[in-house]
Amino acid sequence: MSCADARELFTPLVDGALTEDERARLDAHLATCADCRGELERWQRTIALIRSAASHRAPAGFADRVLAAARPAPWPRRLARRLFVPVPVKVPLEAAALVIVALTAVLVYQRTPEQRRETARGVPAAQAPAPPVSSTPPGPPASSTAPVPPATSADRATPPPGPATAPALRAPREAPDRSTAATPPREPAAPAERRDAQEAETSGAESPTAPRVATRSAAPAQASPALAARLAVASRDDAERALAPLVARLGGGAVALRDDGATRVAEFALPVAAWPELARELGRLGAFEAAETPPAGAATVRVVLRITS
Amino acid sequence: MREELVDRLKAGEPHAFEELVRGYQHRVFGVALRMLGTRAEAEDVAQEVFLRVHRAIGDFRGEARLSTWLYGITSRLCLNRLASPARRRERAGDDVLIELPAPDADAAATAERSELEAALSAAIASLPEEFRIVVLLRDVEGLSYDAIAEALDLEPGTVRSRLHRARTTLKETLEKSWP
Repeated sequence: MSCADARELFTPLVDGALTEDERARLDAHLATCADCRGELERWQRTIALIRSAASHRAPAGFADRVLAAARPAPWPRRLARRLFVPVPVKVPLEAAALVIVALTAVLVYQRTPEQRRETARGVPAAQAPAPPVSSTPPGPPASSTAPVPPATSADRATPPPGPATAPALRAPREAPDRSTAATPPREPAAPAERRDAQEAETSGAESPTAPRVATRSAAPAQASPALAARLAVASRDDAERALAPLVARLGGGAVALRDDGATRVAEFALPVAAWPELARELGRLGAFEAAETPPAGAATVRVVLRITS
Repeated sequence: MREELVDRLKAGEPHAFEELVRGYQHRVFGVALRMLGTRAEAEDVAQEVFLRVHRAIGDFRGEARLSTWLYGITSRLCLNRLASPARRRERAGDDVLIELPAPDADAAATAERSELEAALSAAIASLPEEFRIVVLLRDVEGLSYDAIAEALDLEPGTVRSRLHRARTTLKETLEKSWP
């Protein structure tokens, strides 16, 4: 037996795992080889050292943590775990779901007339009536950039431009209800409303009508049906220039223009019967889209047209 | 491991599992620590060992001793962690947290023992993992060749040769530090 072969048997020798034949051959070699005897001693010291290695204790509380982890979760939690996918899958799915819901909400909003109308009405009485009137008097062509309906609209209840032009927005609404043509046909905007109310209060002779006017003037902003529409054009200025004559030709009232952010908003009254032709004509100007058609039974409708370029 | 404990575990007796954990926590943790080198990772693996036993005790057929099964799960989890690409770039020698023996009255002896322990821990940690686990199971945990073979799914002859290689390497390493 060579020294190399003998030393290969040191491990089973130390572990008591030698066969009888191996033991005999190793003993015979060690009896004649001092080097291997010395090597065996060093080998045995190493094993003893390894076996004396410090033991490592588990951290305090380890057993309690294991027992707690092994405890079955409450059945609702287990049921939830079974129902819902793991986090790495769940989070992307939920993110995708949120995106889909958001997109759906936007699409629904864009296509839902009610939603858009509510948004158009979002700024209440101040939106339609007052601001347009006070800031950009729609009627008086002098201060408005929008073409004011020519006087040919006299067959309508819309009076010539003036302080009462803002009320033009409500005029159509009021006209049908008004039995006294002598009274200012259009209902004023907020300032005018107050003016009318004051007139009603101060004019006893007018009391029969003023209150009606005042009342009606108070009512219209909320009562007249408004129809939201959109017109996307290449040139907003061209569209605005074309709009007033068109509305006037169709028997509509004065066009009140105002800015709403980057959008130009035109409001005007229009006989419901003229709506289809208006839609056709506006469609020639650009991409026209109306949230809905005028309600049945209404004689006139207040159109809130958002012009974008 | 007493056979009745196995039966009680299979029967789902509540205190049986606790008895298993408290009885083997230090050994399982010790093997994991010397294999992985950090206490946090060792605790993580050790906990997983017991949870796997808890979940799979019903499948335990009793062909091997329950302790051998425990060591087998511990070894596999450690070796799997060490086989990850990130771990292969490291050698655990630098990461071993060496526990110093409890201080005793003889400070000099304590210091010497500490140095020896540190050298031994470093030497064990520097072994390739397939040799390290064998020497730990044999010389630290006292398992037989057959038990090691069963735990590691090796032939007994392979256990013997790997053990020899591991001890030879340790001897040479330690002799350099402690001639």
